[in-house]
Amino acid sequence: MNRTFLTILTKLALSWRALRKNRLATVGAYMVLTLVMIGILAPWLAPHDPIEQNLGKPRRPPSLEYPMGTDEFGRCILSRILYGSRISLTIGVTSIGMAMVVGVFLGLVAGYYGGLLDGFIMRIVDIMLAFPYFLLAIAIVILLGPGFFNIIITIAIYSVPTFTRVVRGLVLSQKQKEYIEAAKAFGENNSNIIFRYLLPNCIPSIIVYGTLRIGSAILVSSILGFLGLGITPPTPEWGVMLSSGRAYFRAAPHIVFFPGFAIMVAVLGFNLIGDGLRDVFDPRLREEVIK
Amino acid sequence: MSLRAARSTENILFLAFYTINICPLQMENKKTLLKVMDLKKYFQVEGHLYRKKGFVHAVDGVTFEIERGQTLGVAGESGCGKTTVGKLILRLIEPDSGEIYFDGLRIQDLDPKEMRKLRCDMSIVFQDSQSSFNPRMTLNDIIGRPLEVFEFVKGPEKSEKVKDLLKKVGMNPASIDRYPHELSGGQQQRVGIARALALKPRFIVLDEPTSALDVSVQAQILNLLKDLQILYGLSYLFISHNLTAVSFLSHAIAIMYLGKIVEIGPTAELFQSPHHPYTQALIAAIPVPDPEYRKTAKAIRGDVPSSIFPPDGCRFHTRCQIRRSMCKEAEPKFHDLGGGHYVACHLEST
Amino acid sequence: MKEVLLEIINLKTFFYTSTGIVKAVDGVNLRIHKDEILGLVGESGCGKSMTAYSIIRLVPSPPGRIVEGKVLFEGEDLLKKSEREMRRIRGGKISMIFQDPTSSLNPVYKVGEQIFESIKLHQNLDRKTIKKRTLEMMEAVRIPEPEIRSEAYPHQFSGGMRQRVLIAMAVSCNPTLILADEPTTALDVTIQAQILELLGELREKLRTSILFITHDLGVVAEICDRVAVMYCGKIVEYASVVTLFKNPAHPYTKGLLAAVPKITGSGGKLPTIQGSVPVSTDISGCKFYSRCNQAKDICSENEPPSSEIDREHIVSCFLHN
Repeated sequence: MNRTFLTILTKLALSWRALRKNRLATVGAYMVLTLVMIGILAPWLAPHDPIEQNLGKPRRPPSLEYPMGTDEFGRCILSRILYGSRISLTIGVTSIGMAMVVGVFLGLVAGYYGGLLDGFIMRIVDIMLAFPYFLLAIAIVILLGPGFFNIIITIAIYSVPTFTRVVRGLVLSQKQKEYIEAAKAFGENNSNIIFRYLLPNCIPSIIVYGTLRIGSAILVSSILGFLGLGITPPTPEWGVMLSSGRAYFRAAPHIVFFPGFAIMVAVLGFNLIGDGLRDVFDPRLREEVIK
Repeated sequence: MSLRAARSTENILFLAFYTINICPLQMENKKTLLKVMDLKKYFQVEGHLYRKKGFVHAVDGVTFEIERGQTLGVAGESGCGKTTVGKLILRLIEPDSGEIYFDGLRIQDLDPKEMRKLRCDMSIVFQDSQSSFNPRMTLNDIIGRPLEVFEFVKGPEKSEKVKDLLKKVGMNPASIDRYPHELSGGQQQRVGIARALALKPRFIVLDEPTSALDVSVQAQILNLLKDLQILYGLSYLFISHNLTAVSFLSHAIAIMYLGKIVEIGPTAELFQSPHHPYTQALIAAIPVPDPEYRKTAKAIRGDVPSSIFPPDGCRFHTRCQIRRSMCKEAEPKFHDLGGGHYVACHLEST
Repeated sequence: MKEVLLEIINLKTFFYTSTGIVKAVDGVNLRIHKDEILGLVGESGCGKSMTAYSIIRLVPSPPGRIVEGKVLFEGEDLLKKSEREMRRIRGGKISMIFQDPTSSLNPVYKVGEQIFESIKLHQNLDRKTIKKRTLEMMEAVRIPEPEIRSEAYPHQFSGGMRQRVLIAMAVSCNPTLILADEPTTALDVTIQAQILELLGELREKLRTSILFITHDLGVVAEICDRVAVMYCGKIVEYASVVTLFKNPAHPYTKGLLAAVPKITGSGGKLPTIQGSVPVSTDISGCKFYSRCNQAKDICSENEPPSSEIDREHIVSCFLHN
């Protein structure tokens, strides 16, 4: 057990070093790391309570007391941004994490066994993918109702099909490779082949794809919040902050600007990491083959 | 060297181990270990060019025997079906018809569970070792997985056995934690051999084990395979298009052409008096590393015909210098030339 | 003594990677005479293909670079020419045959068109003449029914036929020098025999010189006039083919010759060269030192100089100093 822990740590360390070489990816990584840290440390960093209203001081511009100003209810925007980081990141990571588990499993099974099972799974995937993902999100959220967990489930549901498709494609291409044949020749049963041989070789692509989807998930939750379909107030979600601040755009643009900027940082950060990871996983294999 | 000392004690221990025989298969007292009769495999082909579905006659009625501790070489050019034969014997590809007997046991009808037990006894070394390894597994796992699966060894015990196997194939046991892509071609091939040896098989299919290697590395691997055969009494099916490599390791050789064996016999005799025109052409075509050697025959004409529409009668007749009219009409039968030497050619009876 | 067609002087081609500098070609001196087939032998990674690519300047340029040296062809240094001039030379005066015929032909163009293109690029003739020449070339390389076959696509040809097409393209403009990079390695042995016979015939007819790169010593014995043996980016021995096989001077050459399994050989073991090709090229002294069974102390300290031990027999080894 200890050994596997050490190997995972060394692999993380090596990936970090490789990632550092790609400058954009490092920038992305730092962006995300910052958001994670402020999310964790929010209780200590936030100068005020994020939901405490101060109706005497609405729409104040940034000042010493309120570094990012106040919104229309006099709440401290900075504190709301800091706590909002927790919400957005949790939504992003959890929903994609759930979609990953389900989607990857379905993709593995569909790709490996083929036949009717594959046909059945892929037809459902095709149907789901026929809808623009955003419409699907809205439809699901209307069915389930607003709220934190429902948003997570919504995003997870509509994200499953693409994971399935990506993984199934990978499995189909790997299935023919000689090392799978060798595994069978040396007695491996089907579930071992799927989980010990095929899955580890799909992980790089899954991670890359997943990281990119997190950015998209955060964006969608913000938009749902903006449309009033997502998180319920007074929870400090960035999209909701954007939405309610819309009316005051002329008079107090800071109410809209800061949450918008936060969303941008989150999405961009994850996208940069995803792109960087993709570069890390590909040329490393190419570089090893120097003739 | 310590390797040799280890080998001799290993040898004694191993013979003792063999007689106890942990692997779940009955040991019978016959000379023949593997017998293959009229093995056939056709692959279906979607014909867009030809508008009708055709079959690739990959293996079209192959028969041979391999004795314990002996090597049968299977030589031929691309498309002759030799690799498919190896995989058919191990049932990695299911034969369409024919019989396979391993140590007296009829194996083509065994269900997957029973077939799995046989995996201890029949093993394979692939041509491109690197692609036969899971790129995300270390050598410890690549070589050790068969041990985990069949003998339920794990952890340090598994590592010990893997290190032993690495030593047996002449590799540094410290490389146990490396990945296959970090090794050279020759080392990868050694790892493939180590994996094939893990469950102490009696029979190994060697599918072009040296084709991708440089000459000097090839020599090392061939020596290793020979040593292992003598040490453990292994039987090999040595598949290769390189006749000189085949000749080094094989006691008998089968020459294949378009899915059929055209000639089979003891190695020395096959080279001294090859009877089939294709065998003669193959031998003549091998470039001899002697600049003053003059080729006796001109290069054989034409290309290998399609295996979807093989020529009628004798499949070789389209390229044969000495063909007669009967060669186009009927398939030749095997003629017994004595001493285990058979040839399939109409002109033998003349 | 035949005239010198191509002279390579102290050629160095290095690859700059994140793990260090790979000295693919490390000070190669070579001479190809007119109407001569020079074999360039060595194992994988020794730099023989890179030498050929360096001659026609097709070295992949972000990691690789020709660092030093001269390549004198018909009196002019190819390394000093502009890319435009090189393009005229490639396929014209110097042409190349690659190892894998499948990936060297464009799969979406008919074979006849590809040969046509290669003639058109280098000769100013009208369509009719070029078409005629295409068919002539296909006949010269013994492709049966050239008019029909020229309308076919590469995937409809077998490996041997594709290689013939490549050879047809290579000789279509009457080159003075052909660089053949392992042209028969990917082919079956009977097809290889055909191709070698064909190359011999073409050489008789056209009197081109060929730089024949291979790892197969048997092929070298069959077709080459002179041989250069490469190891780790350097030429270790250079001699006529008869001399090399009868009197190999360098331990590596001797090891290579001994390691080839011979049909008439007895049982027992194959003599091998212990160890394997070193990974890093950053070793001082002779690169073969670690595997040499005749090594002396001086071999690990200094690089062996080239000495001419006989008429046109050059070795880089301290044993012959």
